[in-house]
Amino acid sequence: MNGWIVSANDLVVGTVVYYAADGWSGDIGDAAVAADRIAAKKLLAASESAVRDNRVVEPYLVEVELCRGKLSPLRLREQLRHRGPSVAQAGG
Amino acid sequence: MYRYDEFDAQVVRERVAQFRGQVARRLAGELSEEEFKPLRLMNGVYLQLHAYMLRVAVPYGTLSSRQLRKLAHIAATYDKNYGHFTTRQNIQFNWPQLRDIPDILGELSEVEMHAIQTSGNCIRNVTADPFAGAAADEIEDPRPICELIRQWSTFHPEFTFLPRKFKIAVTGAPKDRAAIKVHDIGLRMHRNAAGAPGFEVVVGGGQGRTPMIGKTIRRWLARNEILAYLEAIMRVYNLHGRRDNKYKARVKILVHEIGAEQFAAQVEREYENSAGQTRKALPDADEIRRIARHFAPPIGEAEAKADDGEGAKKLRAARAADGGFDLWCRASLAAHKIPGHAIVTVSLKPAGGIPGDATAEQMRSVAGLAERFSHGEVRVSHEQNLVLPWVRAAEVHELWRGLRDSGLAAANAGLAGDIICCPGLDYCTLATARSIPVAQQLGVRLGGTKRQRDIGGLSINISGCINACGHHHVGNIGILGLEKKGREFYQITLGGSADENAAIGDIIGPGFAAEEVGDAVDMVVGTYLKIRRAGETFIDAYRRVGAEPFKEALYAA
Amino acid sequence: MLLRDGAIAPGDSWRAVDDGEDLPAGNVTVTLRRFLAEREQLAARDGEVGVRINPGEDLALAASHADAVNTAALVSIIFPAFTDGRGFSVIRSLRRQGYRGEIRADGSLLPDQFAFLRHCGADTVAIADGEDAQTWLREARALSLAYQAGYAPTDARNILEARAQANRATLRATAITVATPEKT
Ligand code: SF4
Repeated sequence: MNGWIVSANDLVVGTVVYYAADGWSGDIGDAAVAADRIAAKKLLAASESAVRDNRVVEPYLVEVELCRGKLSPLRLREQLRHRGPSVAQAGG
Repeated sequence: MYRYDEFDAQVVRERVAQFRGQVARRLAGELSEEEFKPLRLMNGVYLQLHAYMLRVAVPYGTLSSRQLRKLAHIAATYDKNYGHFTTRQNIQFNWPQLRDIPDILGELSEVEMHAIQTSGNCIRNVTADPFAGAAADEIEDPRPICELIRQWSTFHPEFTFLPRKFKIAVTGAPKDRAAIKVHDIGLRMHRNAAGAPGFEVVVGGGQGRTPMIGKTIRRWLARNEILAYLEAIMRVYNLHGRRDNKYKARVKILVHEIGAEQFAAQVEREYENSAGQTRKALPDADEIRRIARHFAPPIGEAEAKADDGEGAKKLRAARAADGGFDLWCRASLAAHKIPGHAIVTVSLKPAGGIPGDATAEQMRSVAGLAERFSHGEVRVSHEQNLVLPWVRAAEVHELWRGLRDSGLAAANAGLAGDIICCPGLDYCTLATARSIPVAQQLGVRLGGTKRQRDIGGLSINISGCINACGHHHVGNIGILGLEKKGREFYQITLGGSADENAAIGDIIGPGFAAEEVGDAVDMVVGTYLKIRRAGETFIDAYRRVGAEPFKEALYAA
Repeated sequence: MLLRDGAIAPGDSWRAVDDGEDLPAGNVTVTLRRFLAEREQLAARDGEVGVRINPGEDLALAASHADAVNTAALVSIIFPAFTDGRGFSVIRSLRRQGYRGEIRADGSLLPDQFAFLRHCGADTVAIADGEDAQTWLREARALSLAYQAGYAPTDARNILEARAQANRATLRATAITVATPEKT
């Protein structure tokens, strides 16, 4: 089943965050899921109030697949945002 | 190297203070993201996929060891212990937190560095030949002009809100190591009939969506006229460059649409009109001399004259005795202006590594080696390598051992493994596909140094989107990552070149899936090896036979 | 609200009159087209006449009628968007062609651009009533130095001039003769 979640970057730190029932979370598992486009729009509108709270930057909708209770983004770009760079980092 | 005077230092300090205030206002909610974005971009701060990114200017690619140590310190303290050297001779940090950035900029200002104009629609950090001041073929060190341009373009009141970004590259040598023909303005030094050094002015080159080779609008321009002439070019562009379409806003489109002759005529008219005012204006000859003095070679005349050939002899002996060292020398050494010296390229392209990345430890080692062997000076090349410009021939072997200890002795500079590669979809928010994994895969497949030596000079350039930060258009083999139906695929171009014979590569056919790219490049290289004549490089062979044999090999099956 | 010389200025009486609109008494600004088309009528009335230049439309026209434009009592440059920097070059060109009257920057602008505008040769900036004039005045002073010689003097100190002065002082002190500038 597909759905939509809202993602953004944390204003202060810059890291990827997802809109959850009780605010923003770095864990995609916490994300609030909208089942259809109308619900998705509402979810985005709700998340935008958090922009006014000055916590995150530029929230937008991300299409996800729900598979055995796990959320995974459909697009590669969002998969990479979720998991981090696919290449080892020189420093780590 | 140039050293700031009190004024330069104050300009940067005030900028840091101003940005500190802007960040505080943003964090306090007084500035919206919409208002803050242009301000942060003007200070080199982007928001990428995973985090903020800070791009720090390395003016004309020249760094002191002290500055490199500071970059290492920033990588270790505020980031994940590494940095990425870019094709614009800058360095990017991938993980800084917004709240730390004013402190980072403050630390940078302590070593005369900044992030001013590394982004935005302004005159960007000026780039230059990484061998400037040291190359044997050079007419004159172009960096005094570069520093003049840096100062002149910093917070220019008239040209800070241009139609699009604006990049200037300068070379003082006939061999173009700064890719000046694919810049908005390229300046190439040569001598006029009377033997006086001056600059050919090339305008309207560029890559991105509409790649173009620049056109010469002035064959020769005296050095002391450069700023006034640049001002005339910038004014014509600022007034007439297109602002209705972001993709048509670069000066190359203006030059293309009205024609190079018409553009040149407008610039000359503007220059004549303003000549009375600006030619007499500052900077005067004293100021130009003051700046030029900073770039005097660190090797004194006496030492240069005293060379008795012993150093070169010692180097030859070491090369004869050690095959691995010899292979590295063949790739890494370039001829020096001063007898008994060599220019050493430090490849940041270990097979399977991330092109242009360096860890804090590696930066510190290079800084230490620069202090021991290169008068504390380091350069960044647009090929994303580092360069030590002032090495005694007698000490090259010892330097190599030091580099090897830090994992920095890849013997592939200028060879196929010296891949230019942008961050791509692993980091960049504009990307359409990943580029680093392709570079890693190719770096391994191309084989060891011996095979790469056999292939000879070959540039492979990879970009993760049409913006072409990985200079794919001017790679002998160019690879552009795109997205089709949610999958990455890669378009290959052949025949590009970034030097004095600059050329845009030709698209040879449909793209390849990620898992096919390695085979495709193998096929291209294999075809070249089959058709080449004795001593013929890849680009020469391609120019002789054209795309056909390569197309056939790739698509006939 | 009007800012002049890095301070809030008392409002003035210019009225922007559109094409085709009747001319009221007093000081008016008109579009460049009207200014050029109705020069006699405009000159015959009481009150001063200023011209509004929209860099998006009027560039060629303004350049080819420099003499006429130079007679205007005020030139208002209308910035269509703060990212559209043509106005800076228009201001600079006006000054270069000998215009000595007041140049006013109007339209979509940012506080950060105040100092640049003045540097290019603008005298005044019109800001929207809701805006915080203090932010504008503060930003104008954020950078106290400038590298570009030959631009209009402002509060910012010119680095090249300061260096030239310092050089001359050193030269006098050491009594070395000044070398003639490079000839080409
Ligand atoms: S070429 Fe594209 S993907 Fe690569 S760094 Fe530039 S904008 Fe990002």
